[in-house]
Amino acid sequence: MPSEVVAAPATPTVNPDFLRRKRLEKLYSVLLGGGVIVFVLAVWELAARLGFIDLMFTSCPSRIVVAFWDLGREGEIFRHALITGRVFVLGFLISALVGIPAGIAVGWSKWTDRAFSPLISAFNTTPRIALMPLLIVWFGLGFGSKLVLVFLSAVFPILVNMQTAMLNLDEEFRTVAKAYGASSWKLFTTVALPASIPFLLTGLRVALGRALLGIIGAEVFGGGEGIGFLIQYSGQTFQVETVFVCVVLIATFGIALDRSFQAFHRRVDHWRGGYR
Amino acid sequence: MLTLQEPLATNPQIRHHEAVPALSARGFGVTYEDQRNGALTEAVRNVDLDILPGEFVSIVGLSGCGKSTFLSSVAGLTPYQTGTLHIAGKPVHGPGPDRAVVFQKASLLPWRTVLENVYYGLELRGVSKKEREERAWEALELVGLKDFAHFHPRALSGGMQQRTNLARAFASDPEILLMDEPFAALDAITRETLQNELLDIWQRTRKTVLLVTHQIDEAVLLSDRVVVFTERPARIRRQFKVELRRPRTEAAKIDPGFAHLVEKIWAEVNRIGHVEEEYAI
Repeated sequence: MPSEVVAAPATPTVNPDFLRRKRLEKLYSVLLGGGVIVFVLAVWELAARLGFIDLMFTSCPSRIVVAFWDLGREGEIFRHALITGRVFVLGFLISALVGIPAGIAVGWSKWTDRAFSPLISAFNTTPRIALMPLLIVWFGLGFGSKLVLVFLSAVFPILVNMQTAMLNLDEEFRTVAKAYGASSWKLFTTVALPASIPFLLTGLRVALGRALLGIIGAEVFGGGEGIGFLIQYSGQTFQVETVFVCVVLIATFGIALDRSFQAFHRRVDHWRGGYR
Repeated sequence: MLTLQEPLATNPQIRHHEAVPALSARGFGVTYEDQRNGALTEAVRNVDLDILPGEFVSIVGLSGCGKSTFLSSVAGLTPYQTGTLHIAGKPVHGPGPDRAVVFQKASLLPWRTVLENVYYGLELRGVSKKEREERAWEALELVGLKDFAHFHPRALSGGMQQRTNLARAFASDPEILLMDEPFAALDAITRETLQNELLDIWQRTRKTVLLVTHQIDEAVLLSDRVVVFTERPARIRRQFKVELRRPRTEAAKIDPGFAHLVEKIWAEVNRIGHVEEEYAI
């Protein structure tokens, strides 16, 4: 008989104070982070009110809020946001659809990696916005060129991360799969794919930022619509508040996306530890 | 010295009269290339070994003698260059589902639960979900881990991970189980516990096992036959039949025959031109 009795998974006794402490700590960290932002905004507002900064060239929080309200009532800003959002989402989706299989294909074998890595590095280090004049010539001002720029911005982080995931396949897991008779396809589906999830999520998260950068850059560069255009146009006509409203809008959107990605990452990656 | 025609009365389960050994190596030799500098190492030379169905055979030898390479090559993970290898009568070169390996490291897939890890081999063979779950549960029962079936490996202790590793191999139901120093990475107490458990599991299931170990008492306790390898390149120096009565328990260790055999094997293992420092007692 087995001499050691394996204990049933016990439900450990949890110090009731522990959860309360954890909750409080979380609350404090939110209050602290929010507090710093509120403080900065207050100083800014105060400086404007006391005349330390020139409202001709800058703005202050209260004016931005008012401008936000006005722009919202007009509805014009939403039209621009919708146009930007559409290109962003479409470009990001195409990037994922192309980047994931391409990254797998390039990283799966030593020779495809050697063949394509230099090309990919060359692309990946070129600032994509530098291509914008060419893209406008090729795809026209507006939707086409913007979409291509978003795609070129977002596809490489996804591709490179998937490539890295395939190249860094854990030798231990590869050996297990082989020892139990896995075919290349099974090695891919049962080991490489699950092991690549963290890489994929990192890639998608980086790509999200790049895509946002790409779309705004493209719209600032040229065109007659979109949030980027609105920023550029408002800046030239000294509508400083509108510029700020757009920036806040983009920042909020970016943070929301990034946070939801983090939450998603924790969910799918729970076996890696810490999040049971 | 043991000849294979000799009846092994101590393990009545060994099916001597079945024509086909579970494993049969003839003139088996392995030379491998160092991945970094291309240096060639002849690890195994001209090994003839038969393992009968239901037999538990251990290989012992000095550290670095090539016994692990031999096992890896039998598993199909390291190619062999000379001789032949048959598993249940079929010539084999690469890895296959007719063999299952228990690694020194538990090597569990961390994104799979214990249950999913245990049926991994069956899944690769295309066994239906219902059947592979059934068989995985049986294997978990054997190693006493039913309550942990839905845990992820990182929530388990080293000993429990190694039990899962064992369960995975047993569940796969291969022609032969290959174990590569399966308990070497565990602490002394867990190691002994698992040795006893393996003894118990094996006596209940009577699978064919080839175990590589550097622990001679482990080899004697578990095996029907202990094969001593020479220093590198590994050849078979001598084989010992273990005549301790089955079913055995840990208590077999206090049998005077046990100590005597361990001593004899020790002498044989060390009857070698150069004795490596770490192995001198």
